[in-house]
Amino acid sequence: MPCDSAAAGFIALGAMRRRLEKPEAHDLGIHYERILALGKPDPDNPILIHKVERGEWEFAELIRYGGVRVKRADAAKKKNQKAVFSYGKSIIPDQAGDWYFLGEPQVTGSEPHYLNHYASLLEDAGNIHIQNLTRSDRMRGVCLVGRVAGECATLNLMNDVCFKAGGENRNLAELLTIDGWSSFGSSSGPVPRVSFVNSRFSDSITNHIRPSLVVVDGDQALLRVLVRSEFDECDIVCAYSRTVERERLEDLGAKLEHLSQWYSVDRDSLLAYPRSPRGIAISMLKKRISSWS
Amino acid sequence: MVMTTSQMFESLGKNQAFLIHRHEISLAAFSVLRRNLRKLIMQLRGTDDIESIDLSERLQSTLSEWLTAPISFDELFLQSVQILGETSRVEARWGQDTRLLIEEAQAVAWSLFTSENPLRECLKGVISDLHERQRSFRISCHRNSLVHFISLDQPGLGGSLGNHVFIHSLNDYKQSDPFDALIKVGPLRSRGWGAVPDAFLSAPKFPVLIQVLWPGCMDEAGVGFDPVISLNEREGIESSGIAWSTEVISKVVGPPMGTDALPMEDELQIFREMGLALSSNTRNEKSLATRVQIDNDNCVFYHPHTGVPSFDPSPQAHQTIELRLPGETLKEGMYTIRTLFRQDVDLGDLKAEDGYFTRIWKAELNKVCKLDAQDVCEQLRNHGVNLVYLESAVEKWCAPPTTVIRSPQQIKHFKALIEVLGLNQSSDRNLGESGKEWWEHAWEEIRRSRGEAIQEGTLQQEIIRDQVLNILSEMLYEIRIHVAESDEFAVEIPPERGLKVTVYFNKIYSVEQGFRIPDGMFEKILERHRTEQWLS
Repeated sequence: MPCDSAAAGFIALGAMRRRLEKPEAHDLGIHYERILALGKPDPDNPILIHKVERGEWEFAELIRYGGVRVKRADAAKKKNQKAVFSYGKSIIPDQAGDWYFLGEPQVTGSEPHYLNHYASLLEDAGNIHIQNLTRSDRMRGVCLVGRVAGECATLNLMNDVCFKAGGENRNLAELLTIDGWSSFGSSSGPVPRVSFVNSRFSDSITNHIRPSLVVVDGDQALLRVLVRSEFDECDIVCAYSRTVERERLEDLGAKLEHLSQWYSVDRDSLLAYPRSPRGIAISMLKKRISSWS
Repeated sequence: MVMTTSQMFESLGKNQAFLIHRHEISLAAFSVLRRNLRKLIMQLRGTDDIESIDLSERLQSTLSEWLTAPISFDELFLQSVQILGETSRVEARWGQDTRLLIEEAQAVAWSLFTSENPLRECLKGVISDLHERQRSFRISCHRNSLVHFISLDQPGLGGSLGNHVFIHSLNDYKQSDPFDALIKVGPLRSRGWGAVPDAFLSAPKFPVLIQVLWPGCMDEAGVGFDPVISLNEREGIESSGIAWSTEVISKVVGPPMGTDALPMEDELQIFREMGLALSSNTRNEKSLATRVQIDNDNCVFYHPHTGVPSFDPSPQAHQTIELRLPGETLKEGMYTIRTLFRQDVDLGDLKAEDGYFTRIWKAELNKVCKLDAQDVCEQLRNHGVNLVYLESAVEKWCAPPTTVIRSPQQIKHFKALIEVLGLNQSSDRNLGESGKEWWEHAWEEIRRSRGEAIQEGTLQQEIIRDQVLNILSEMLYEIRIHVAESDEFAVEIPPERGLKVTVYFNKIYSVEQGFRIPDGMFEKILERHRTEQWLS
């Protein structure tokens, strides 16, 4: 990019919009698998929350003909509450969406948010599978990696870009539906269809999140993403500004040079691409395929 | 106010072509001068004598400035050549060849003295033309060279050389609105003298770049670098839609000097290669560093990923005092913060605070120089201070101490200075039982002010630094008053806070990456001309 911009946010939004067309692009299946996996040793997050019946729930047993039984996890903490919880609750696939893991966003929502905006976003787009607007897609969908200056640096840029549809203004940060970026409360807001990783910190992302596409905001964030094993199997798109110091450009150049051992410029795709606006340069790298394989 | 992305694309869309007008000005006498200085620099650099190398670095700095700024052929210009000193002494020290080079250089400099530099003439013409055609323009130059550009201003230019016209850094460029032309004196280079942001070529906010330069000064290959564009170019794919074409306009000024065939060399490239060759031998012993310039002459190196205590005076700053990363969050216009632990020196009956010795020797030096500066220089020479640019050095040493103590760089020269001033023999000063001489106490004070002496243990320093930064956050009113008055100032932590610390604030002139320096040079105040050798 010829200047600092919210390009990474646009790319993430475009990719997310495309996934809205796919009926299978949601988290419900993986979410239920995670619930089933609670019976295994060391689940990554052992506590469930019910959308209506608040409190913490934990695994009790697997149900013989399918599903999981859970029990109150906070009973011991609340001395006044008696053992009415001994019956627990059953979770079967159709009800999995009523549950979510502690500290994580809900996987289903009550109403489809921003339909007008998404519908009018791309000229050549297909129809939106409207149920997707009430199902999260943060586990296998699009992941936005923020710049190394911190989450706010990326968020502030996205807040400044406004889209108008059906007489309603929504900014880019809202349309990305990243958990914690919405002005809505967690229960009434849009379900997250994009996940977010703060590149400032090197903490691993949780095991269950394996995005299909990673969109990286900035050159320095890209250098960090490329050394993280969690993203080994992902497609990666990076948008960076050329208006940075020579050192940074050289660091990125050296990394691309290093990658050229395993990747080559995808000429065919690149030439088939529509010409980008003046000032934007696009390159694509694809994995080299050994002639023996 | 930074322009928006939409404005940037509008500007790029509007400019159908991108042109470089390259005005090459030839002046035979100046070419001879360049050649001689270049040879001198190479000869002196080849020695292992500290003063010769220092002299070589100064000359390199001078010549680099001549090639990248519209200098006047004035007294300062003449003095730059005369720092080589009297030719008789030069021959005794460096031999006849060097003397002949210097004599010719000085003669040529005299012949140019007071004549108008044709490069300045050309530049005035360019600016005047843009002004008449009501074209908006910017000038790219190093902050140190600003004075040469400001001196161009005259009624014909309509006072068009205000501060807003100058771009000194990438940050300035990012803040700038689109304009019609960018003016640059000298070649386009990625680092060191004449360095420009790559974005000038890869993300232009202007359709025309006007270069005014001496012959032989070539643009560095690869300026305007962008890794993606470069990747595509190797595959023969044009990608960003920004292509520059160049038109060269050559102008020969003045009579030939029998040197028409004088091959013009690219000194800036030679210096760069010389620096690289020197540093490649010791590359493994050097670390990446970011250079922060704190005034016209001095700079400090920091590790690129180490937080530098700093103050941001801008009203928009969320956190005014904090640790910032050089090049990332530490920027021009902010202030570096250096702490100096005040140490009392035991002088028997009295305890002297920091600065005590400096105040005395500076006052004495000023007094004797007012009486007869030449005599002071002569005495210093007799005491072994054989700097060929001694007169100008003494003038600098006379400057009052601010956040930096201007003094001799070498310990033996400082000792000689104190001896000449008669302060070592001063009987009315009881130096206590430390066993140190007067000059040693004074030298220790200088070293500490330059950040050379170890003040405390690292951990203890960090704890105290954090304490100091907290206290400074409560002193913002006082700090802002200083900021309004000066680019450098000192603040003392109130004694009741239990710390004997003086805090030095220095405005940041520039932040430059791309250096590799020996480990011992970090966070010390260094003369800028000495540091060019460490460009990586």
